[in-house]
Amino acid sequence: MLLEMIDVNKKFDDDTIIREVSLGVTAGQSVAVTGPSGSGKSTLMSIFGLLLQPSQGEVRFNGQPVSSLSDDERSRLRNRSFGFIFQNPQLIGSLSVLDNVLVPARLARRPNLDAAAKVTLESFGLGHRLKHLPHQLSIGQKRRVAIARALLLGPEVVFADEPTNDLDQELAGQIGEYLLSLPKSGSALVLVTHDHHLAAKADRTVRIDNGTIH
Amino acid sequence: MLRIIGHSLTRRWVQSLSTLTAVVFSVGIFFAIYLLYLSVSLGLDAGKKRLGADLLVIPADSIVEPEMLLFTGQPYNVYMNREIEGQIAKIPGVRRTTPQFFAQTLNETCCTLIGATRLIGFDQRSDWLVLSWIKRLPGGGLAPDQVIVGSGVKGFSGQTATILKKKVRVAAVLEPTATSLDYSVLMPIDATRDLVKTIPYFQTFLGNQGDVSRAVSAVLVDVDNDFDRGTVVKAIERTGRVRVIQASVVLQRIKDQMDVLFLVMLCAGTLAAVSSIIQLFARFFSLAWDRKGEWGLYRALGATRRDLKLLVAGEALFLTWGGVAAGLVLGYCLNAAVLHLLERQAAFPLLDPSPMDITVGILAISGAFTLLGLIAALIPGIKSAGIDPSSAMAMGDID
Repeated sequence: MLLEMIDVNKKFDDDTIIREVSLGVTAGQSVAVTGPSGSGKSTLMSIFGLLLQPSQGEVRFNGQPVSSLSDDERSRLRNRSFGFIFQNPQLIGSLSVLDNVLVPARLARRPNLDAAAKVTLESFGLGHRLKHLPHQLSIGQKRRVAIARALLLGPEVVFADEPTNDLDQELAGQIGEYLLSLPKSGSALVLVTHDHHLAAKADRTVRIDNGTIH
Repeated sequence: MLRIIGHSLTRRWVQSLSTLTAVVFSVGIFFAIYLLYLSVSLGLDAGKKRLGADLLVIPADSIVEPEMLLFTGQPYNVYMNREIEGQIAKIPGVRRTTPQFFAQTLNETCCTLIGATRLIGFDQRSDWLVLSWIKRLPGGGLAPDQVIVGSGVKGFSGQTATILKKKVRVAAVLEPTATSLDYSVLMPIDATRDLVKTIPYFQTFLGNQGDVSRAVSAVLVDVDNDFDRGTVVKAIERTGRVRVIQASVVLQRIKDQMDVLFLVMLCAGTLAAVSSIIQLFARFFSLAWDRKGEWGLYRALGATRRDLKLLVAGEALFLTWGGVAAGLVLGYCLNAAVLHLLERQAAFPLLDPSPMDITVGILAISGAFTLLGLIAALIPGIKSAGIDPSSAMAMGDID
């Protein structure tokens, strides 16, 4: 198992958001997590992506419990092995498209990835937008920049939180197809979505409701 | 990380420039005040050491600013009877005396020199002041047609010159002394008297002292260390119509005036610095709120807490070091400009601070502002380290 969570609980004050959840993903597998708003999908993804610590239970990466890792080690693991596509594209407004994509590379102190970033952006049809600022892009283009940023360092697991939200049907279809093709290149995909059609195309679908997986 | 810091500063270039400018002006003002204070203090200290005489006795009716007499080459054609020197020499506590006779070059075709310059005739037998500067002359003294030229006298070149229609030989050019000697031409006293005898113009200055050979302009007095200087001054004043100038009192008065001026400048500099420090603190304090989204994103994408602290501290250091570097250049230029103005107006010498003093100032100012920059970055640094990486999940667009 590449990444797994075992009997995870998450509480915020007295509210239990995630209850006794166990879930795993193997290399090259896509897992879709569906559920209604407020069901705990994003919290689940945060714990899975090492953005949040579980209140109880354990998360393992390549069989090793991540709870034994320091905060710095977890940060480096996120940078090296995980790619995040957030619900909002989360681009930094004053950085160019190219610089936005290069942020993880710069945090990893890998200065020689400019060419790779350009190639990735060109493959997303954004070769002519490298110097543009995010506000000059359409929502679809922003999503593609966010995907390029998530993929630049060749992550082992890609987390996508509602990646087709607010997109028209055609664009949502294109982006969904692309994300679901990622496991073919070896990356695992954890896809949080309320789009049942998209979720149905994943290798595995789990439904979360009131913090519990069904 | 450097590129992220660079991007962060340049994309908020208005705030960065504003903070940088505040630091530049504060550092510039402080550095200029520091250099100026050193120049004036060193000049005044050197003036005290170099004047060489404790007291300068001049005619009571002479309208002379002591500072101008002691430190400039402005001509003063004041005269009294030479017998006064003998009376002063007999006063208990007076260790030694020497007379000087003042004349001047004229701003006319008669002279090689440009403008009116003080001519000082000094007595080679009793002088200890000028001779200390010319002890390296061949033969140890000046011939009647020889002169010594102060280092600050303008328009003088070559080995001969014409002063008041008389050809003279230049025996030496003085090294800078930071006293009136720098702006004077020095001759043997009898030669100076002989020179002015031929110029009718000077008869108007001689007044009652019609006989030039019996006139002196000033008597320089050294007081025995065992005697109270004030008592000696009173005794000299009782000899008749003379006025006593105490070099140390004049210098102290100038120093006191300059201290007040520096205090005012220091207050102005401090106000500027406080404003810059507030701006620096405000800038970094607001970061803790304005950039939560950006820092949360960095954390989610793999930045460690240390990375974020480095980011915040790096921005602070870039701004302060950039501001300090530019401020030091500004301060140096500001000091040079003020010195240029003061040199024309001030009645006291100004000396360049030593490289060591300048280095100490640079290090102290750089260190102080670096410390301030880091303190200003402390709160946002702590806040940034506490950002939860999961906060990136909830953020909207990041400016």
